Amino acid sequence: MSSVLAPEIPTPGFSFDLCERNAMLERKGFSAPKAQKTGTTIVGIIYKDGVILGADTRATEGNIVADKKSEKIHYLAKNMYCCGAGTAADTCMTNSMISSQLELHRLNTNRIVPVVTACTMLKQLLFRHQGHISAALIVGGVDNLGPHIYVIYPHGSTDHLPYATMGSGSLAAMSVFESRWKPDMSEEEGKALVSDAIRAGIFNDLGSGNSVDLCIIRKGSLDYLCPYELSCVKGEKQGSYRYKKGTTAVLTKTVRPIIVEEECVRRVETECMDTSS
Amino acid sequence: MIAFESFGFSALKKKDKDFNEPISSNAPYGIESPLVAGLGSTKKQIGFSHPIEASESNYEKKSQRLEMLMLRNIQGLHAPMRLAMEIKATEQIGRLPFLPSSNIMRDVILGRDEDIGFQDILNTTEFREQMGQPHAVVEKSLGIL
Repeated sequence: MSSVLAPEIPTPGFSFDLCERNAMLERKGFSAPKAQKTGTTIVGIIYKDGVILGADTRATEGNIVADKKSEKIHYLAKNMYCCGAGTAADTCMTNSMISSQLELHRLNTNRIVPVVTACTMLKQLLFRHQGHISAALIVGGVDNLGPHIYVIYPHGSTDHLPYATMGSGSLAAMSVFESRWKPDMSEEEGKALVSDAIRAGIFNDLGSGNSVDLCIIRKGSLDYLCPYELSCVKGEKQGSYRYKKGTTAVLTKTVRPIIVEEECVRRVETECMDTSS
Repeated sequence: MIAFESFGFSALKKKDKDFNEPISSNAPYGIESPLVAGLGSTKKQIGFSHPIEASESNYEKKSQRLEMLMLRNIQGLHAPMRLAMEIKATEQIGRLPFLPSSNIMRDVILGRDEDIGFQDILNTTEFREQMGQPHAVVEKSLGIL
């Protein structure tokens, strides 16, 4: 029971107060906007000294490109980053929240946070919300046990793999990895392979595009290359399509002069400051 | 209840209606107007309207229960009893009911002080827009309203 005087204080967290109203509106024929189709290519591989994460930068809603420079490689901790596919807002908020929690964990334990910790935190969060948080993630990082790539699905299941792809371009990217990935690759080979995989996604999947982002994590050092390469550069116009001056003929021309009828000057008296009180 | 007539509001108990009673037909969105009946009245009193609303509202209770069970299996009955006693003690910290507690001691006992979740960033107490009338909240907690 609640009232204006003693309102029922809602618990912090998600609020479901408007769900009933939305259901009622839908029954009356005003359905809420549907979730739009999203598309992404994100990949991660393990190479000789660490991991390389890659992502495209296109954010789509249905068949509209919403953002051409969307950053999909999110910071988790100094030694790990996370690529996110799915709803951009969900991946971003989930990652920033887990990132804060990892920092608290690091301060508490005073040691490098293992990548599996981030993976467990993420999968517990996603499983708790039963897939309603639409985040498909690739967590990559280097800890004391070596390099790790974890794949986390939106419902909370995880994989621990040497090379992984996610998103709508994952099939194209995986075909590149399946044919060319091998253990203990050098950094140059790894960068070329990851950027080829992302490019396969960009050119074969309409939901991915624009440019290639890379993040190379080694033990103790990091390279965050955004953008690594612009893949879909907009073509330049060959000619000028502006009309030349005088293309449209002037038919008539009249000039009306401004006639001054009267001129007067009004002076404003200056007012002294009131110092009476 | 008599005291409340002096505030110019009607008593609370009269509004406690049967849930089968239909909402007045002039309600524009099929729910009582939050301006008239308070924000809590927009919620359904029985059942849930979102698939994860039920699991979210019971999550803390269930996870705590699971942890207590695990603790009992590992260390014996004394461990969860001691923990439960401490948690009970945190609930009895003297504070007027209309002043919300930060629950820091409870959070430390449950290990939730090292945790950041949606309960720490969404709909938090410091950004709450409504507040109870202190006397009314105290009387409600004492069960005399």
